[in-house]
Amino acid sequence: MFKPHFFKSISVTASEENVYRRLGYKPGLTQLSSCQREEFKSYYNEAQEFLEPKGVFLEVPIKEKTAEKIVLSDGNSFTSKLLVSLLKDSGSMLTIAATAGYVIIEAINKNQKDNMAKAVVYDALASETADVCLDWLLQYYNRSISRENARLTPRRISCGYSDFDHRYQRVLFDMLNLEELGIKINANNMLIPEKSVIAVTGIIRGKS
Amino acid sequence: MKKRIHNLINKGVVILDGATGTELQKKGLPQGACPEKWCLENPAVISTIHSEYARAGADIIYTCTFGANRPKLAQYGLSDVFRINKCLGALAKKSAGTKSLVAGGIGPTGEFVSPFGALGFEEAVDIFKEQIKGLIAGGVDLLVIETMMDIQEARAALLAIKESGNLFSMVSMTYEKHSRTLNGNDPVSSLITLQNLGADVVGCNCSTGPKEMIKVISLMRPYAKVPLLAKPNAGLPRFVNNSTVFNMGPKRFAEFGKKLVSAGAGLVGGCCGSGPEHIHCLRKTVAGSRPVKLRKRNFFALSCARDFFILDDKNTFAVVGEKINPSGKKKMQQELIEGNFSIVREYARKQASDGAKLLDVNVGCPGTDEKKLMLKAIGILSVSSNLPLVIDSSDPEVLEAALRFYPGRALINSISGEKKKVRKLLPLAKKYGAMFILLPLSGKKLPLRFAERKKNINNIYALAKKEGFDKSDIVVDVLAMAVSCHYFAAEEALKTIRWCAKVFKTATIIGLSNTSFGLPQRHLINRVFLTLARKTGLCLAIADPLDLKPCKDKFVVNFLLNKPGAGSKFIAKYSGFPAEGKISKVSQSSSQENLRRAILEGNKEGAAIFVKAAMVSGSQALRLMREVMVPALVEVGELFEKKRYFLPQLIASAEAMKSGVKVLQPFLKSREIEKDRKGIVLMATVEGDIHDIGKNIVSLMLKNHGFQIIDLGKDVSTVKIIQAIKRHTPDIVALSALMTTTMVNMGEVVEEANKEGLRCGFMVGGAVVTEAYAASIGASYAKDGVHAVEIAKKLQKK
Ligand code: B12
Repeated sequence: MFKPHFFKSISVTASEENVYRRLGYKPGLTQLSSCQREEFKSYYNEAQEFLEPKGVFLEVPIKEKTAEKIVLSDGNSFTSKLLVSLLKDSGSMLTIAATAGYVIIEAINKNQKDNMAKAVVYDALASETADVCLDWLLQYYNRSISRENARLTPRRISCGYSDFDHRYQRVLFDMLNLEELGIKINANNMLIPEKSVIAVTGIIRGKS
Repeated sequence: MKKRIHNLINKGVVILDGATGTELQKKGLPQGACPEKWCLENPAVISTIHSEYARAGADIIYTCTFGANRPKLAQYGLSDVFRINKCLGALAKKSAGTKSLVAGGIGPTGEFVSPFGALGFEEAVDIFKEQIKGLIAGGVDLLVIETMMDIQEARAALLAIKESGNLFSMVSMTYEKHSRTLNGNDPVSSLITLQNLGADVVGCNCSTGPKEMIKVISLMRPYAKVPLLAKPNAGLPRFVNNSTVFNMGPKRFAEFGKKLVSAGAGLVGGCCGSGPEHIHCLRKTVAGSRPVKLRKRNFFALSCARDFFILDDKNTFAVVGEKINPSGKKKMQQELIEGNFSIVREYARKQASDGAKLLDVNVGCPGTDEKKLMLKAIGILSVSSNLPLVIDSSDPEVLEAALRFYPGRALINSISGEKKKVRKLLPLAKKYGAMFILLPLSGKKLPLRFAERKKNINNIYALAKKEGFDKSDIVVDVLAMAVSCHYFAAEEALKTIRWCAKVFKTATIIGLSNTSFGLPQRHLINRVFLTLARKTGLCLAIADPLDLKPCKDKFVVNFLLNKPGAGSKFIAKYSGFPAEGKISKVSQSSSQENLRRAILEGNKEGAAIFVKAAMVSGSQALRLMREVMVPALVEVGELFEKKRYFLPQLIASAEAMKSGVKVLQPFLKSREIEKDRKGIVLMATVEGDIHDIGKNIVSLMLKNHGFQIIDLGKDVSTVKIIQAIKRHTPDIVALSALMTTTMVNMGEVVEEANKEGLRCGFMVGGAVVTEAYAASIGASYAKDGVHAVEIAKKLQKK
């Protein structure tokens, strides 16, 4: 009954400011000549065309909770205090994943040879886009449950954070059937293309 | 019935009902229950809600079938789609009384439809047809598709209505605060797509409060040929004490209703959080007001999912990108045969950035299934490009499939007077609301002269008119032929353009490059001909946008406007290195200052130029390096430390340094190079890790400071690193890792090297690496490229 919902093209735009912030830009402190500002802006603009934001979400009811463990109705279980505290008010777990696609990775790699400054702007844009896609998925999901008087936990976490072991990446990868979006996972549980990410959050149903 | 509804709308503002979901919750719908099922089990409750809305003055009441489609019902283990819709439709009819009409409500399936999501387009159409069948059997008066976030899903539902009978249809999308749906569809593109596909009313509901919706209605109004609908929430939703609340009271809500009407809405009602009281107030407030007049005349408009193109007084000309066409392109043909679309994607990208406003798509290629390829191309382009498409095929079957699937209003290329085809294609174009290029041919013979073309245009148009088209739906191809074959070809084309623009009053299009076929200087001819044609009134040109690009060379413009740094860039671009004679006029100190500034500003071309200039004006190479260039780079590092510079600036400066050093190198004596040379650094991102941009930045910085880099790349095994240490005997081994899981491999490398008795310094870094971890494995740590240089220098000394 609970199956992944795929979005093969997500319409998001990462803000220029957030991209620069990732690269250490401090408003009011960092000084950019108008020439460089234009230059970086042109990188930011041209890189947009290489992005192929995609994503997926999956809701799975929680069957059991202990102080350290979450067991889902599909049989998968996760031992993590961080996850348990995130899901303390939730009856279901929402897993989301997003990617900025392969084309941007090619473009980053190509530019690293003779225009590293461009490559880092592309790189940060791709990272930010993957993140913004996750926000989009949450917004989409929130919209679809708002009529049901339900909402999502304000925070999301990823495995690799604190005691939520990075090895769970593979379990989540399989649950979401990420291959459908062309995403792969290597022996060290790294997602390919690189600008891909998985996160989880909780669904809280309100009082009726 | 359709007529009755049109009359109702023409008489004055139509009032729609308010929310059903939030009302049901108030009246006891349990959390997590299926609303449709619960309503069937508690018919009195939903019946009361319907009659309350009717009494409050709603002209149209929506059935409680928002989630009564197969995939949504399946979430509750239900499958009797027909019966549920029929019963709820009938129940609404019974409760609405005689005054109010009942609209069968159709909501989203919860999946985006192909090409934006996983649900197949025909599958979606079938899902909606199944629901519609039930609603019709229940006796609803009209149908409403609501709360759509994906234009393709809205199209599928609308087609399902059209293919289920002659029912009045309303479609409303849900726009977020930034006036786009979550799928990125904007109100005007959606309006163009839906009103041409046959929606009788288009509008918006849910998501935002009435205030935000005024903007959406105002955006649509100038382009609306059909009445507009607005059904906002009672304010923005907020979650308070574990419960969603909408806190706009009926009076304020109704005030906004009035503003929505002034903005252009002809039908108003409420969505989440609004109740009968809101509708009652709304009725009272807008009673008797007349909706604003809508645009009566048709107009030239094309759309895709996330953008649109309109030809009007402000926008009189556009280029149609012609490159997505395999004829004469071997590589593209090969790719298409293999089902590979990377060239298609690349051409779309390139043509858009060169200024095309529409993309012609032709994938006809011998030995392939054109229909399949066309659908795939449309899917890919709809997702990756924001330009409306011109669908180019001579096969009616391909065209039909393409029009059905294309998530916008397309332009067909083309329909000629060929009897069999024109009869097939005109109804198709009409059904899918497409525009078409009228090709003035009647048989096999080419009409060489204007008079014949005029006759053909009139004949084909007469047929189109019968089908319901008008002149705004058509673009006439004026038939550009090679001047090398017919010396009068250009003249006849111009005559055709003039007549279409002045007398017949249709838009025109030309396949530009045909004119210059077989002649030298083709680009020049194309450009001149286009200038003439545009002056005569040409609207569209199928062309390579590069051929037409007006010259606005940014180097020259910036140089003339005296922008900072533009001078050196201009020289670098156009004259290579400055002429010696000129340079002698420049003093040594000013060229050194220019060089320093070029490095500080990250100006690669400038750095190269000014190194050369400084050398010509008598600088000594080693001193230039030590006293100007290295200090400039150190200054950049300091600015970066103080956060005055951010990463791209640091890197741009490093690259400027690199380009300067390259020019300086031949002037440095090998003895001097040797003296300044630092050690060898072996770099690698450790096994399992694929992130290497951080390592590459560090490598660039080290190189600039005289280190010799051997880069092993990413995901490098410990064994390989050890082998490389043995082979190159580096002074320093620098390792990078992004994750704690891969970071442990750094420890392994150090341990193995120690075991083998290899003597070298170790430096590590990357997102999760810390000073403490580095110390624990016996390595030095650097947080970024600037520090890495410091640490490397220290390690070298040891
Ligand atoms: C951007 C980012 C992302 C982006 C892009 C990731 C990518 N690989 O490109 C996205 C959103 C896609 C992402 C995804 C993930 N991320 Co992430 N991500 C980051 C973030 C914020 C920045 C990394 C970055 O790109 N920096 C910019 C580059 C230019 O800098 P850099 O590589 O660090 O290099 C600089 C320095 O480190 C140093 N340096 C680098 N190498 C070397 C080498 C030497 C010798 C020296 C001296 C110096 C040096 O100099 C460089 C230049 O200044 C970090 C947190 C952080 N603040 O670092 C988390 C972080 C790396 N991610 C993390 C995690 C968990 C993940 C995911 C596993 C989440 C998930 N469950 O899906 C995924 C994995 C992705 C995959 N492909 O498998 C964790 C890792 C924790 C851990 N336990 O290992 C971090 C640390 C966040 C955290 N707080 O926990 N991530």
